Amino acid sequence: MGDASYDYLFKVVLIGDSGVGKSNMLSRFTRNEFNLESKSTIGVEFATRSIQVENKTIKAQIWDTAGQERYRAITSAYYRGAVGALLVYDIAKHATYVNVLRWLKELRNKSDLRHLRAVPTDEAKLFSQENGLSFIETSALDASNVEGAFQTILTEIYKIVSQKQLEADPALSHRPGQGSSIEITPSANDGGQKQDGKCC
Amino acid sequence: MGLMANKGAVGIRLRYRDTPLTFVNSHLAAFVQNTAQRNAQYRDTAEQLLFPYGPPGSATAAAAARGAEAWTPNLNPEAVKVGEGWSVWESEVLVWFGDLNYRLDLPRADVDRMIGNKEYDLLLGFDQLRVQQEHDLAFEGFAEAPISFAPTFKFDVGTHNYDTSEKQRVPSWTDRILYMGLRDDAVRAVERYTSHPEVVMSDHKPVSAMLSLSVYNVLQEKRREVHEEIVAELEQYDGDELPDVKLAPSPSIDFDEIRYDEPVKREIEVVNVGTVVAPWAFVVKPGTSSLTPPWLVVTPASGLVLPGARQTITLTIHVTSSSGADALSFPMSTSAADIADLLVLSLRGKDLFLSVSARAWTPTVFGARLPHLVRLASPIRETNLEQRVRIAQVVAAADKGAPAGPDGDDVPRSAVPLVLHNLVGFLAEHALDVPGLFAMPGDDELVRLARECLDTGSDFPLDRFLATASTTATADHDEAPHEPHHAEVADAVAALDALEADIGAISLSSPSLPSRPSSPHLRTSAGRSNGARLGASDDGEPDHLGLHSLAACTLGFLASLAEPVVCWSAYERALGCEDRDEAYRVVRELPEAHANALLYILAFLRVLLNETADLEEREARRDRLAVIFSTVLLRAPPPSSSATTGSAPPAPPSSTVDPTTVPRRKKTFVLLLLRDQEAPSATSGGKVR
Repeated sequence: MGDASYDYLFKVVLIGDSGVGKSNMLSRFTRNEFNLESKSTIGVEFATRSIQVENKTIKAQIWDTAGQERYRAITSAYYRGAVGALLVYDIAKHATYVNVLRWLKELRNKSDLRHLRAVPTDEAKLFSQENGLSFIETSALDASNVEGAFQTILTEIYKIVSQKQLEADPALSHRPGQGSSIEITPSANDGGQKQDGKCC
Repeated sequence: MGLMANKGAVGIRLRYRDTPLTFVNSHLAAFVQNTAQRNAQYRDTAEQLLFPYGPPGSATAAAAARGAEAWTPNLNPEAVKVGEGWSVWESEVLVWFGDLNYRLDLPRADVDRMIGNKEYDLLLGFDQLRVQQEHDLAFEGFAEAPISFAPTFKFDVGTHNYDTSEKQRVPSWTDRILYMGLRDDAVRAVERYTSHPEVVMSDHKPVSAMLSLSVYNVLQEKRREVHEEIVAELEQYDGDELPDVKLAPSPSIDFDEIRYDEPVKREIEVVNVGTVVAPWAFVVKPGTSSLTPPWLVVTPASGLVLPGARQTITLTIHVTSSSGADALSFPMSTSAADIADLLVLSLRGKDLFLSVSARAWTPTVFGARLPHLVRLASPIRETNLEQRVRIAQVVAAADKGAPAGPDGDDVPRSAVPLVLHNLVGFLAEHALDVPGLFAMPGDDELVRLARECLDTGSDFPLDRFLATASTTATADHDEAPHEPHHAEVADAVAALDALEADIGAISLSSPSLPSRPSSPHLRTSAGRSNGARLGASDDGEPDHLGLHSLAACTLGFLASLAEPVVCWSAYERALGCEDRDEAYRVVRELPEAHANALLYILAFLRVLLNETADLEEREARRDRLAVIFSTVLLRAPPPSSSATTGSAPPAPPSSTVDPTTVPRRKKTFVLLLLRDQEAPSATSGGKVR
């Protein structure tokens, strides 16, 4: 409880359509648990886990949000203060992939990170499409790549934040909540084998 | 004259079984004008009267000083304690009684007359104590049983006569018994609340009350056991675990159809499905300012559930004028008509959403705004949502001062709301000779029926509203035609029709009175056989319950208006009026719909008054009607200016009006308006200006 033993605290939100597996990604990452009978999340829940990046302890506060359309207006209020977002879709449901663009739009409208943006959206999109970067297929069921997805996003955030700190006054560092978003968009390749989720 | 020395308070705090009870007797400052002093003395007493924790050095005193005493109830947790000891609030039940000395703010003659008629409820509207309570100036939160006895002060000692000295003190309920309980059922009942007029040794009559309280009895052994169990239970939970609850049976509550002022309850359970204690609370949704929408109440709003346990939350939808009835009947958009919202129940590390919705709202004219109602060309239930949205948008645009441009106010409007016209028209035809009209209570069931008729546009069923309880059964067989007072009906009709011209003269752009497609009452005059007749109660006098119910419905309608007939913005000025011209100036400055409604009501009241031939009786009736109508036509603006009002923002609360004089000023305003221009020639009923 109440450990001050971290160097950075990053708030990251999990968003995406209902039923794509956001809650199980969270439980897999923070508790190494998977629930086959997981019910639709009607609310917002967070859990934390600390990881090491370049000898720094990063405490990730991951917020899992309800994906249902009817809660959209209120869940977006929880994006405030987030420095990253994992946009999740289901490789078995094409519609959830189509909706990724809508979620991106939502993020752009609601997040307060716009002015801190390091990478222009279009550039990031193009970049990730061309390079397949920051696009990860995961399975919360067999745990494959969940760890990697969170590691990737947290590392990216850390890089941006530490870069910003170098550019600005290093003395002002160690303020959690400071940071920037990274766009991690999917590649066109949508034909994986894994039955659960994809994280982009 | 020892004025300071004979006022003060004494208190007793006792523990019955395990229930702390406190009794305070106060003698507050005398004289009509000393209300503020009485209020201050009440506050001082509440703050300074402290009961010692126990004999000095005793175990109880030491325990209390350490704060280790078992949980103590507190009726007013926000109260500041200025010393050591139990405050009057630290009690399960607090009874506060004595010669509180609050008076009636009315002239002696009025009070005498109302006492003679046993019109105590009416009189209590002028009771300083009630007014102070209403304005949170003293004794806020205290309850009092209904008063069914005459004022207990001031009598000539040795008699049953109110003060005959030259001082002519106004009889008042100076002697009161108030109480406050921590739980709803702490005071289970007031078995008796009465005065003892047979006692003549004092200038006061004694007052007594018998309260039935529920007390608790702590089983110490059991308490210790439970305490240890809980401590052990709590210790086993790792503090790092986050609580987890679910809402049962589902995180979504659906109500059926919601109607005006008919509260509906639903229950939901918070089930602790986690391994640790779960403290929960509803929190303000991001972007809003209150926990719940105005039409919804949740109890409790926070709680704590042990693992495996469940707690019931009650949700009540209750739509009244103050909780947005107007915005539902006349929504600004079709989606705004939905009763639906999302509540956020917050736990450590988790927020749950609870969606609350109702299938439909039954639109009603009750609780609406006059500018909306005058644009309602047909009964509200016959309109569709789009029509009502259109009305709301047109009125909103007009409120903003938008000129009636191409897309301007194209919704035709009538001078007064159709429903008001129907009610008053019916009363004008059938009830002019009914004694005590508006002063008598109606029957709840009949009032509801009348409300339904107004909303649906059906005629008031004559067998219900003209029959009386004792004759309803025989009404069907009794074909004797009702013989109305033809001449009077014709007068009333003429008077009301004459209004059209008057109203036109006052409001420049005034449209005409609504036509009465479904209400033939006014036009009909002679001997219509309606299968019912004025019934008679056992003593041969008709009880007119149906007509009294319609009168009560009229008052209820006026009182329900989202913004009173005398607008918020005109309230302060109305209270300051001292002559007839000034009062009419206030009326003329009201928005059109409000001014017309007021003039229309006044015209009807004049017709009613002219029914009373005896001049003295007529004055008394005028006075009484002024009292009654003043409470529904004038209402204080709500404290926050966020009220759904279209007119100028309400006057700031920094009112210069002494709250104790408010009822009298309200009455004066209506009385001035009811006064005839040239006092002796009071024959022209509908003359308004």
